[in-house]
Amino acid sequence: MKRLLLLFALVVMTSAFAAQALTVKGTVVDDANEPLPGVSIKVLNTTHGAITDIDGAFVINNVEPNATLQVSYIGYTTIDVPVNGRDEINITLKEDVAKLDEVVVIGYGTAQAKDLTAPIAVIKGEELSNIPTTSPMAAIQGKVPGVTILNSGTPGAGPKVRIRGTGSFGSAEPLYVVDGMFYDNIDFLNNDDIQDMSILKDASAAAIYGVKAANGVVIITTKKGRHNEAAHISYNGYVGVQTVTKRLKMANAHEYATMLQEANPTAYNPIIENAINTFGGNFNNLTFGADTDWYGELLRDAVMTNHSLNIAGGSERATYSLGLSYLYQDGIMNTDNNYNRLNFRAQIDYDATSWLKVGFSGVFSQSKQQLPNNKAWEVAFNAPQFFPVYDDRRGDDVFPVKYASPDQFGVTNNLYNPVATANYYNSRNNTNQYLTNFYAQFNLLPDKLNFKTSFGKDYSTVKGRTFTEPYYVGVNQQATNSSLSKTVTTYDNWSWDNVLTYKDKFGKHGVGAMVGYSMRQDSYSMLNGSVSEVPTGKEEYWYIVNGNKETATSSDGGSRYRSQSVFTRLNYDYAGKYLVMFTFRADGTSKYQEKWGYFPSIGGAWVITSEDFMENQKAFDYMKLRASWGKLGNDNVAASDGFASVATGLGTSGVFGNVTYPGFQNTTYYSWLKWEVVTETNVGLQFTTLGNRLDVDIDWFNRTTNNAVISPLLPFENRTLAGNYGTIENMGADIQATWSDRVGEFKYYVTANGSILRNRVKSLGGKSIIKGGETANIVGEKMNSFYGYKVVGIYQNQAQIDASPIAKAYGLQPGDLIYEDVNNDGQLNGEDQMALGSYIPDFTYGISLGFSYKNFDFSLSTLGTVGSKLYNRKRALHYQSAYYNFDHAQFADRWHGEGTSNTNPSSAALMSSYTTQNTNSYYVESADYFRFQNIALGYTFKNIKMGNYKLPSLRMSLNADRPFSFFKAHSFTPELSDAQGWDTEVYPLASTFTFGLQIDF
Amino acid sequence: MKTRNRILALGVAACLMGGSLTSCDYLDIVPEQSVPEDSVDYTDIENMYAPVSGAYASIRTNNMHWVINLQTIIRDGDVWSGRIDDQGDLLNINKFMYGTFWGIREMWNQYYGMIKITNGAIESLEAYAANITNESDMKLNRQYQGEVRIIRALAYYRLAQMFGAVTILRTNEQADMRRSTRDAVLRYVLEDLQYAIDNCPKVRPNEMAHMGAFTAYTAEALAAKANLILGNYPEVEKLTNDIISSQKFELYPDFYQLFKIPGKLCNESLMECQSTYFGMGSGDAVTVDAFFACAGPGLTNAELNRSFGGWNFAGYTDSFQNWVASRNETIRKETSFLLAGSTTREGDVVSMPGNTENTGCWNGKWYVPINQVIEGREQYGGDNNVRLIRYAEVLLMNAEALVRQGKSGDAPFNQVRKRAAMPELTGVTVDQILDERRMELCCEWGVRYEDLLRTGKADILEGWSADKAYFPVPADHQNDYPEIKEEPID
Repeated sequence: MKRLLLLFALVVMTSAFAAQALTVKGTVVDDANEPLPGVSIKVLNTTHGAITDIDGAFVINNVEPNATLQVSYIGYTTIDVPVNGRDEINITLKEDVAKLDEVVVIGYGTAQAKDLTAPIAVIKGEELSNIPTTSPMAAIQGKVPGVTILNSGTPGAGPKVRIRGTGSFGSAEPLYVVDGMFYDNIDFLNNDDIQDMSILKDASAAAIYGVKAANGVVIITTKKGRHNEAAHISYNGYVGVQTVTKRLKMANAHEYATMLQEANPTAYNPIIENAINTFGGNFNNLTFGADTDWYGELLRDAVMTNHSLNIAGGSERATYSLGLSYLYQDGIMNTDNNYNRLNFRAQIDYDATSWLKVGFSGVFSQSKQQLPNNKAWEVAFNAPQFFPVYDDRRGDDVFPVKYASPDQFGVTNNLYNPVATANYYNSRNNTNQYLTNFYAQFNLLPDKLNFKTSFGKDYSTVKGRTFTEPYYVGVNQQATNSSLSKTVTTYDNWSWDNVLTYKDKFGKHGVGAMVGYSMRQDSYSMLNGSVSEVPTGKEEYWYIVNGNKETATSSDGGSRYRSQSVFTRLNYDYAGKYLVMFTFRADGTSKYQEKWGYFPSIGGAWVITSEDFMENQKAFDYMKLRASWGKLGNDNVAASDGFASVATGLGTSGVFGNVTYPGFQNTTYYSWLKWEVVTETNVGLQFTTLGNRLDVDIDWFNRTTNNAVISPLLPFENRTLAGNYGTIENMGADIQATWSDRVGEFKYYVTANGSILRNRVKSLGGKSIIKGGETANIVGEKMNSFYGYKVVGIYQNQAQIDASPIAKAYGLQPGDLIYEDVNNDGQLNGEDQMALGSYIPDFTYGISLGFSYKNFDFSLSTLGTVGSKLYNRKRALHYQSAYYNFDHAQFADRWHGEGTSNTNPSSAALMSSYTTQNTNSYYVESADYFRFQNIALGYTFKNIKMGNYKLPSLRMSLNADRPFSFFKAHSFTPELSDAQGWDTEVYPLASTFTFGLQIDF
Repeated sequence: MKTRNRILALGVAACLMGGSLTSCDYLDIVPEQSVPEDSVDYTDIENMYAPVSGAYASIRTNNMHWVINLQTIIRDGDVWSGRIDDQGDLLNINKFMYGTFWGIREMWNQYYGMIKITNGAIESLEAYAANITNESDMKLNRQYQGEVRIIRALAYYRLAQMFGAVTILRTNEQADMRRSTRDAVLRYVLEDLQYAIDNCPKVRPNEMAHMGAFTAYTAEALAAKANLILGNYPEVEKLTNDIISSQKFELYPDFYQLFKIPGKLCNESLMECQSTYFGMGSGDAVTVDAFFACAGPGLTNAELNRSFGGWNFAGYTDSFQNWVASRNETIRKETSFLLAGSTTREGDVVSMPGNTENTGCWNGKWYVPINQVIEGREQYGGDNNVRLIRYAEVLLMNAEALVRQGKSGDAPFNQVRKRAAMPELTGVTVDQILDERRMELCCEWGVRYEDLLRTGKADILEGWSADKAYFPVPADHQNDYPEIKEEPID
């Protein structure tokens, strides 16, 4: 109490002491003499300090004449300036191209970039805030070598993220750590909530997260205020329009009818005639009264907007940051589908005493996602164009909307009206998520030893509701009764972390140690109810109690896992020249029978330019060699109960008369799984050269996943049984080179990044191949390879058919595909099938550049992939129905007589089961693309006078996200929502053009 | 002061860490939701029927897969796959080009799924038996084991019928996947059935406490079918005689309704796979899924303002339709044929297919009139049961066994003719019986193809040769279990 009073008195009497000390004023500029706003100036060993204003100016009271000022700013080299009794100090900061002084968030602590022994990529919040994406991860696409982002077009859907390849047959998503809490994704955050993001790419950095870190770790820090900063209020917003990046062209009615006639006129003419009789047209020249461009009907331009307001600041003792943001994204499918999200965020740190610091951070996120029926994209691919969307002539049995139906030309199976498919769908998810974190930090020895205990709680509920109204389009596209299904999913997770941190310096020896203990519990529960015959009309009626009670069903489920961990990190450096870091984590988890796992890592770095013998050279400004090794776990593996369970329910009960007898089936197989283990080695070289203008960072890595969980089929069954059978190797290199320079007021940079990846299945526990539903895993090939026959040509004439035993066995015609008979035995069998490529790319690259000149700024980034293959399932689905439409290229490129094509089959072949039922390379297409990822142009007004008020800064910008894409695949986008590369039911990606406004008040 | 605070803080820290580390049972929690298998209380004899019920469910979920149904009936020249625009491989199977059709593996796996479920059920019943103390419960246990064995026998019978030589899985953990010859498999089937004949009640299925459960007569009928393939006619005669002389079974008088809702579990039924909507227009449905719908046309009833969609597979060939017409069939013709564009007795209009080039005639035995399906359920076939073995087949097997042994088969034969309103014959021959089976049992579980096969007449079928008589072992299994390609064990 006495201490507190004393401190209080100190604060109050500050001005009284000012006479004895100095009031220091000054400005901070960059090396082009441009003022730098927002620079932090701290009086060392005190809590005093200041932040420069828009003109780069600062004032600090009560500075001892012999004090030292520490001046730091993101992207600039931190310097210490002795006051030496001066009361005006003008400071020039140098740009830090290699960002060596940057403070990087690492697990359970921070480090300066120059002290790192591991490759950690840092993304600043500013780089994300203007990119129009719903999830922050989507905005980093192409920015970080070795981090692959696969975006989805569905409004509100988060992207898939892969760090250094795919090392698991199951989930390969990284771990997200937001203010200390663990997450599977960060789709609930607004881009503007983020202060910075650290991506831990290798095992030595990630090992501190142990059993959850195998797929890499992304650490997110939400925005924080700074000490001694006046309230900084800013608005950031954009509004824009989204339009599909590329339209897939389908065969029109005439082309489709031509294909059918070429295939088999007797079989298909009746359908063509029916369509003409019903909807008009002329059979002789195959013109049609209806020619509906289904994708044209399904697509629209849609709005996207984001607004966020932030207030941040701090006093000597406290810092705070508050934020509010709202995002809305309409879907480009022409039906009710959209996403909106409202976020509130607060963060407070308070130095309660000289030895105790307490703080809180919280994010509340509320979102509503109205889901599209992605089935409609597929249905639109399949539907011939020769029937209209609506047909008012149809009877009253067609309701509520008079949609036309393929029934009208005599096809009741597999063909549907795509617009009706899209519109007779009503499903949404309302999500509320609360993320809170409280901490107390005890400074036991100031700046040397502290103990931090923090408690985090994440609670979220997702309320899902799907309603189907009664409707009738055709015999196989109807719902007699309304139906309603509601699902409430709750996630309730908490964690408690206790960390003791020590750091000290003895001469040239720097030491650091961290010891921690953590407990956490993750619980999940789900409750579902559904019912039929709910009154339609207003959605307020849609309650299960309003339905037919006799039809009500319910189900529920849940899980709860606990973990307990001890971890430590020890680091040592000698004169900033030799750096060594060791980490170790012991993770105990209730999820598996084998409870404890141990994850060590070690890393070292050698700053070559700090050596004496490098002193006299000019070639390199900075050079560091680093190497690391570590082990990580992946517990994104289904928990095993460790006992066999019995299957019960209606599906396992016999019917006896009009009742069932509750039956069970005992499944005598059960899995006994443990987590997957990744071992990774990383060697990296970073150097800066040519007068600090070129910064190059190269890393080579080898990460091998052992105990990878894969599920081979049980003998003679469709069921699979998971086991830790696989070994996967990802080997590659990440390279990034940045050139930045300035010519007078013209500042510019060019960055190139590339990532080479060699992904291979090394073993499958004795088997050489394990087939899955979509792809196969084969020892020695890429994971998830398409597996089937290789097309080596097209049968051109009858002579070729007669000469081929395979053609005779399958009754083939000229125009059919020739599959390679690898073993030359005149038969098609397993030995002729091979790996036909995988969706995993070999190389991804990006080039970005930008400049600023006076008040203008401009940036452009591009992105490309090489070596990725997709499976055109849309085309392959022709096996379901010969009446399915073709894409325009299938028509234009088809074989239709000897010599017309040796790669594309005839229309008859496109419909035959020999083509469609055998996976073959005709359906495997290159998924490579090159894209202009983002182009932004901004103009900033500074110090705008508004009466007595001077508005510090206003920036207006135009942003084009994904404006141009180039690819060969017959798809809307080669970025697929399916992780294994099946192109089906894919929501197209949009190009987004926005106008943005950033105002600092 | 300062020092004291630090010590205090350190103490707090130490307590926090120490305190939590000692709670070492923190990780020992029971998993949520899963019920361990060993928690099944095998002393609770009341629930002893649960694994049996689970085995019955497998008939519905496994045996009734629509693609099995199609592959079973399309090889006899009388039934065409039905569609040129979908499942084109079925067109090839029509001509005995099996290729690598997915349905072959599906069929194999579904039956082995049934076998594993029944093996598991027998294990469970033996676990119950170990806890039984009185003879009446023991008797019940043996009866239940008998019922499960009939289901297992059905799976093996069907495998032998479709694939010839297959693997006998004596336990679910068996690693040796070598096949046994067709006859060895049928002998294994007969062993199981003999157990059931010895231990199951001699009543009709619709007299069972569990309505429609299998009985000793069900086992005898299936055993007769197996013996017929083996050519063991005295045994066929003995088994069928036992069923006939019980006088418990009779032909359902209305052949048309026999296959529809009124004929469910009638006195003609020896083996049925049951379905139910529980009498409700919505909510739970326990049905055979797409079994009926896959082979149905679209139906529309303007008066009821209801319509059903079907998948249009499996149509009768013109040659079969002509053959039926030449026999002057009436009631069986109306019941078996559902003609495109026609209107049924109940006023349902049968849709026209996209093109009628190959067929416009579907299987009427799987047709359930719209007015027999409770309103709100719009699945073709509704909750009808699937007839697996009928008394009519028992009578015809009896007739054939008698004739083959030089006796008269006229009596059982003419019972079947009479119900179909066909003139009675005297001194019937094997060929006449085979024709009668072709008519009476058309589209019922591949009887016709099997008859052609066992009488050496299959070579009349287009594309048939002896090496293609059976479906090949699925290619994946040949790759995964090389021993499966070895010579089958007899």
